[in-house]
Amino acid sequence: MSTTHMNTHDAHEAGAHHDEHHDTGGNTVFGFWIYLMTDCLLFASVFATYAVLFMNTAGGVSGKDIFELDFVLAETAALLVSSITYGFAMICAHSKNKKGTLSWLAVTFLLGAIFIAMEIYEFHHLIVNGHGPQASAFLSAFFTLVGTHGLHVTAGLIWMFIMIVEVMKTGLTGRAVTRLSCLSLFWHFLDVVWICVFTVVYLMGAI
Amino acid sequence: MLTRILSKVALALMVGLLAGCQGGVLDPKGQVGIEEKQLIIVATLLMLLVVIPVIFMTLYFAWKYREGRDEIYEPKWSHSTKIETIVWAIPVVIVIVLGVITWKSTHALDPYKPLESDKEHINVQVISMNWKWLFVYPDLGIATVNELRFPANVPVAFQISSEGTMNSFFIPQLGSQIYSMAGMVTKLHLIANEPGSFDGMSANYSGAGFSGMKFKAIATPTEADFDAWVEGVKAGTHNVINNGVLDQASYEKLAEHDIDAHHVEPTPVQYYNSIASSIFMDNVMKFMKDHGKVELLKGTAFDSEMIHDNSAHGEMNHGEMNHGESQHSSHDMHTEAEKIMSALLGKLSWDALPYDPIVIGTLCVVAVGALVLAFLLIKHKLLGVLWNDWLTSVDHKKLGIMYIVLAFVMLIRGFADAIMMRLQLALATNGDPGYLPPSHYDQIFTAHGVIMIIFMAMPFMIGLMNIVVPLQIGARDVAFPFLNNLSFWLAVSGAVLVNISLGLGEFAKTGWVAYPPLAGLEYSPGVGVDYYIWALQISGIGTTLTAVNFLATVFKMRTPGMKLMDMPIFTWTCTWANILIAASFPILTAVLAMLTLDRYLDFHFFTNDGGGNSMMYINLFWAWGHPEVYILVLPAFGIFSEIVSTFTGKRLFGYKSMVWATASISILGFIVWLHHFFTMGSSANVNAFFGIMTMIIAVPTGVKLFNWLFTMYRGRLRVTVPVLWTLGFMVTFTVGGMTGVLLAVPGADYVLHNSLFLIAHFHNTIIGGAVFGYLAGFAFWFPKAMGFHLNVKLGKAAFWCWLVGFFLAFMPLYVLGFLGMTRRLNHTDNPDWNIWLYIAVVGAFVILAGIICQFLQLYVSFRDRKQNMDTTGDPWNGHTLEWSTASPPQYYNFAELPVVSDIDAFTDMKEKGTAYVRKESYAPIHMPKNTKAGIIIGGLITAFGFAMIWHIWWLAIVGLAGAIVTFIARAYTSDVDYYVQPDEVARIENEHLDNVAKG
Repeated sequence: MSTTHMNTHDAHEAGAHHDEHHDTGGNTVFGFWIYLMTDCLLFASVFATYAVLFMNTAGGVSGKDIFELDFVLAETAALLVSSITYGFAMICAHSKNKKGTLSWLAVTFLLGAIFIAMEIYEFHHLIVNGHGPQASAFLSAFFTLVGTHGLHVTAGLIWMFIMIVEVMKTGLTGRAVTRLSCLSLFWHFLDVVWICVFTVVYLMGAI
Repeated sequence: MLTRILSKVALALMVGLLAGCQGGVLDPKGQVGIEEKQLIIVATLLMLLVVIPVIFMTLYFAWKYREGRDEIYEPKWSHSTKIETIVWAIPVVIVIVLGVITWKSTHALDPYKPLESDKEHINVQVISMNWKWLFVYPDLGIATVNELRFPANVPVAFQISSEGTMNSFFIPQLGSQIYSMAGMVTKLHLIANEPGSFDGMSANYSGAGFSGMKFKAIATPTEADFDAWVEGVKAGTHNVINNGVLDQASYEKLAEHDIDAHHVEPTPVQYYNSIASSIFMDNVMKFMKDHGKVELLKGTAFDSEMIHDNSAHGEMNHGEMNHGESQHSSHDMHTEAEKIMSALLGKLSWDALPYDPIVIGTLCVVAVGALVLAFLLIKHKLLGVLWNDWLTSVDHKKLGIMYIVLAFVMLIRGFADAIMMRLQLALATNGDPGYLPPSHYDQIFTAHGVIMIIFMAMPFMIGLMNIVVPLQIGARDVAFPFLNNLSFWLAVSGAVLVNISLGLGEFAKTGWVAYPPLAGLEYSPGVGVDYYIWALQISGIGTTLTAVNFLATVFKMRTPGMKLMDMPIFTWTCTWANILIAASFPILTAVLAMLTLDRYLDFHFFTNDGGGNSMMYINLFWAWGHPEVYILVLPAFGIFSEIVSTFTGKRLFGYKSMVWATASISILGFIVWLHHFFTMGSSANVNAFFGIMTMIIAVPTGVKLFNWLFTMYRGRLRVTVPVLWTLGFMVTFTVGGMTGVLLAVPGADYVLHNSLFLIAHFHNTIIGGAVFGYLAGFAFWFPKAMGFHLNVKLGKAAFWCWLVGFFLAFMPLYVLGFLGMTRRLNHTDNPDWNIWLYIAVVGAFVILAGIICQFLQLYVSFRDRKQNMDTTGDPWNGHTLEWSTASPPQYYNFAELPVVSDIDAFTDMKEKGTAYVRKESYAPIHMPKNTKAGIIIGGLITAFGFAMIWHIWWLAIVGLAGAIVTFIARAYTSDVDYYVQPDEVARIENEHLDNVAKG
């Protein structure tokens, strides 16, 4: 099977031929949706495990003893507001407002970073007080559930950083907007997951 | 009344068949066992009402409607409301009847329910230890090891728990089994209707000494005899150790064991006449009681001391045991050099190299093979071709072929494991240890399961899907071609890790399910389970990405005019399989990640202590594992549908029924996972629910069989190699389906769980269903993918060897299951089993002959390829779009996207005369370029996995970070695509059309 490569640029410049496979942005966003559904099931599995294990404190602390709701509320606020600011970034991106997009992305990034910093602080605080994930099944499940979300947010931040660089360098190309749309889905999805974490782990745990 | 007579006839038949074979579940000596045997017989008879007609119709229709007969031919006949109603109704009625029986029997046979008797029951508390049974008689003040005594006709109430790993308490002739789990108490009620000595065992594999974990259950003729025995034990005349005292200290001494023992002697019978009355509950509660932080730390220190002690005894297997050593070696580490070596190489040391002559021999053969292959590639200057046209290719067809090559390579490895196991079991009879010690044998059966499911069947299925699905829906490639390449390399990465475990360190010794606590750090301190975790984790993520990719492809990239309900049936079945992958593989990812955290960072998800819950692992594992079997078999069903329809020259009968049957199997597949552990003490309601859900799956599966039959009806069946596989499947799979429904009846599962009956059942469905399907698909689409035909004679020889070999190898296992033989035994000591074990090993060699024929077929067909070219692209008079392309297909698949208006789109085109039309001009075609990124990421991830297994942290960081950076770099490469120019398209298309005209 010969795969003689034609000169690509001529064809790109000819440009008139938009066959069905050229515009793959829609496919990308759709594919990303499906990926998010698989991620959702990953979280569901960890949630289920948490639900089974949260009472297994092995004589150690339970949620009531360690959760500081005020702190978590501030953390939650940072993440929820970051979702709104990301929405503004997307509005700017769709209206080809490069500067607005970058500014809102920067704000979102900052809020996300605050969220992660607070989470790291919380984890550190728990561990130095002897409530690390090794202490009981409850704490194992707690750290894993909250930590899995935290890892996702961290990945989102790295991605957002790369997108900021991309938009700064090449502007709001079709590719950049597609990628921003995927990150948008990802970011809002993590928000929804956090609302579940906040409710199931913190609020219900504090009762 | 009728059922009673029928059951007597069947009973006579079965007894005749099993004449001279006593001691199994069909020779029950207790009330529970008798009821379960009757249940098995009634359920079997009910199912035979469908099974026998289906097998008969398969053979009759294949003969009656074969090619060349002058029967009425109705190629367009594809729907009949009347027939479809009947084919849905028949299995529904049978399942309803069976469902009622199941509901009633599950409650009647609930192991927790006390037995009705006018006599007061005897209480026995059972603790399974590695690898012995402790029986405590709390009311009598005595305890025994490996001997259980009670009077006949007196009910016995068991409370069962475990000191460490999970076991299953099972006396086949008395009936039900139940699991023993640390920190939990399960209950079981049994009775012996007549005196005798019955074999008792563990039915759940629990480590090196598992095979010797047997006991005698002796029912004394009278209660007076039993009392006399109790008095004897109390008097302490024989079998006494430790002065007959069973307190916490002597309990712990009894529980001591060497987890990595090469050979474990069975523990002799022992009696205790002075017992701490709360010894049972104390040792159940110790796993549940409060663990303060301090105590936990102590526990950890204790564990590593245990490991230290073991190695000090010098009984440890140095070739395989690494973790414990490096753990304590940190204490004795004196020199800087050692510190540096440990930082550089983690746990890796010379001890990791193999010492076993079998392994060394295998590695030598592999090395020679690799050298020969490299030499040939260099000699024929093929390295460049391999790299440029294959390894870096993003073409779905080439990726598909590479997946199938991977599957065949891993088939050799997995089958070598299989034949070694069968040989071991044929040799290790009558107490002979055979040639494989448990430390090696236990790795082999684990590797066999993992390889055959994850690295043979999955790549084979995904390979066929890759080759065929984009072509069937008229697409030029998948939605994300680079991702497709990456998925492949992640699958390879997992396979590479499994194979490295052969030469460096060990593989898991846990069984392919890797249940904790056995798979936890305490009972599997070596690297074996880590190989298992990372191999599955990496390839599993690749599989998830494949599913995402193909779902986006079929939902977004179907050719114009193709509605969802116009998709070819194989594409439909693959789509459902992909939905199942997307919905179930994340569960596997999560559960493996949790096991990783338990093993690497001392988390407590599934540990015995710290509040962990090993049942959670089992639930999550099967929430993935059960859909997984449908992921394997649904595409095979699709293949059979395509083949039956193509080779009868008819439209598929009941296309819509087929699609909906596939959908219902997929959805039901998610709510049956508990049937893998009916014997873990769930309530009768729960067991009955999951049992009935499982049976309901038989309805859509039955519909599929009927639809294939009615596709043959009034067709012109050409008996080609793919058709032989299909007919072989229809007969074989029907039997496997029947035994599956039988296992879904909890009352039957109580005696068949974890027996060789189960092994026979799932090989019957996975080989007889999935593998036969893939081999059928292989023969069917081979000319399409490769451009030349396969040798027919060798193909038929391969089929017959596989079919005959399969029946010889696995039908005896059904019998052995009835005779009470459990799975994962390393050696046996029951003369009644021997003959069946011998037949099974003969079967394995006949299958080997089939595999050899398969490879010979590839060689001969390749050698003679010039004479066997498929020039038309449509060798079988196919129905769907893949046959409208050349063989092998043009790399862009379709010069112009076909517009379709029929399920059998290509048949439709051929009828309308639009199949081979020369175009005046063509538009340029947008194509993705090949990329090195996939193979580089695959390599880096392999390094990451390897480093994680051996605790080489720097390499793990390099591997993972490198993979992420490569991925991002690839995302910012703009040179990823190109256009095929119209003159090139015209040249290729005209060449194909010329060939078609010539052909």
